[in-house]
Amino acid sequence: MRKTTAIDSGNTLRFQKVSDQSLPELACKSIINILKETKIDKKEIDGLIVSSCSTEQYLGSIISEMININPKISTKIENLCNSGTSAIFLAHSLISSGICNAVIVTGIEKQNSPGNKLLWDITRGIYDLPIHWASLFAKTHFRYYNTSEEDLALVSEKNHKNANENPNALFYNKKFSFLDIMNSKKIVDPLKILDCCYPCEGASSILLVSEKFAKKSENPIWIKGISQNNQGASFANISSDLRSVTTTKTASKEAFNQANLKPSDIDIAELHDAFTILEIMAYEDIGFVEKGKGSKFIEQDSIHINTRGGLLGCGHPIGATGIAQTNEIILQLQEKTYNGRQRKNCSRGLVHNMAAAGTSSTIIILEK
Amino acid sequence: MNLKETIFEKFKDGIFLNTFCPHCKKQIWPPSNNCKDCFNKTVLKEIENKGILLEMSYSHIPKQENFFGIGDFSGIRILGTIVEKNIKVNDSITIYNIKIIDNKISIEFGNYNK
Ligand SMILES: [Zn+2]
Repeated sequence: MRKTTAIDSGNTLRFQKVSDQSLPELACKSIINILKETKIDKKEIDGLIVSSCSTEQYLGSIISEMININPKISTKIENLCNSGTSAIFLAHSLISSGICNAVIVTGIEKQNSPGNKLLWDITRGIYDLPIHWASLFAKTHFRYYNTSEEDLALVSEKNHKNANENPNALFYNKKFSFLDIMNSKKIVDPLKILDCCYPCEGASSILLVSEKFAKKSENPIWIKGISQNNQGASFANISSDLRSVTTTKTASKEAFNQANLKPSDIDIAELHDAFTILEIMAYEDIGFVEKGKGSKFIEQDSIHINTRGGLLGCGHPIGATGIAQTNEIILQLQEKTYNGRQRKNCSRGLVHNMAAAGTSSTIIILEK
Repeated sequence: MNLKETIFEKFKDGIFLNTFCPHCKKQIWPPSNNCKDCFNKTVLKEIENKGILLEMSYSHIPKQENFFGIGDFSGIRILGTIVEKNIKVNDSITIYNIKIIDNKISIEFGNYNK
């Protein structure tokens, strides 16, 4: 029988615009924070997966040497904005197959990451920034479902407000009112600058363990479902219907099947809000609300959404994002958040991470 | 020259070539040396320059302040500049200018016949 995987603990450093620290230094700082706290012995770490879009060589082995571990596997995963949860997926596979018992996943990125833009995709023509495809998704949603700029601003307002409770968020100290957002600079219609996440530097790490090792964990959180779907890479070729993100729908269905749960069983979720419209589409594509009703779901309180501030409020250090999202759910389920953002009575959470116009998405369902 | 370079070279003459699978009788886009389904070798073929506008928006980005959209030309979907003001989604469009800018395909389309 396939074994399950537990998450022992995680750590996220404060996201920032730039620093003079190297990628391995950022990773070590975050990993050391985990190793200082966990009951898992450092000698027992038998896997290290680095998530980053950096082209720096041999990061897994460099970081292994810097923290003095000798894992069975030490490698790097790159899957653009979906790198972090891809690395968690790999760690889970190593553990559930019985190859490894304790795997550290560390996501690291600098602000000027090559992951900010997909160069291969010639179908984007000269309109090759992420905001171009995001604006076309938004235009379609507006046309079919009467979603409005005000709806988008509500998403941004909510997530920035949540970021004010998260000291690790890039915009922790920045307050944005609904009017600030509505009056912010237009970039590509209907998206304004405060509808967009901000590329930044960051590190976030997580320790995954086998069932056997989880007995040593103080407060293990279990992976009940994990699924990814990949439809290709080119925006114009893959996205024939801009009303939905197919990969999110497919990955969600599979993850809920694995967990034997349904969307209404989820108490808290981290959704990939690289642009405000993507959060609204994620509500629908995951199945929290029916297609076209996403804008009505923004101000609901049955499921806590993006309590750390989302990508909009935290910033987006590409390879670290999926791990930071997962860590927020871990902290919430372990009831370990601080600064007033702890939500009560949450036992099941969901992580949604995606890349390159939704050409790939990952869904993780977690339970305490 | 590799496939992309060959196709981009033709853009300089205003010709939009793409790869076509003679066996499956369909366009293989983005261009590829082999058909993605039957894996037979593809041949180069000029694309239809008439299509449909699937979605559009307006860019306020400096030096790019214009309408743009996603056009579907017999299954080849690509983003391009819209050079017509009175145009809406689902309108028929015609490619009327193609070139390479900064190693990217720059196409212009509108809803009138050349
Ligand atoms: Zn074929």
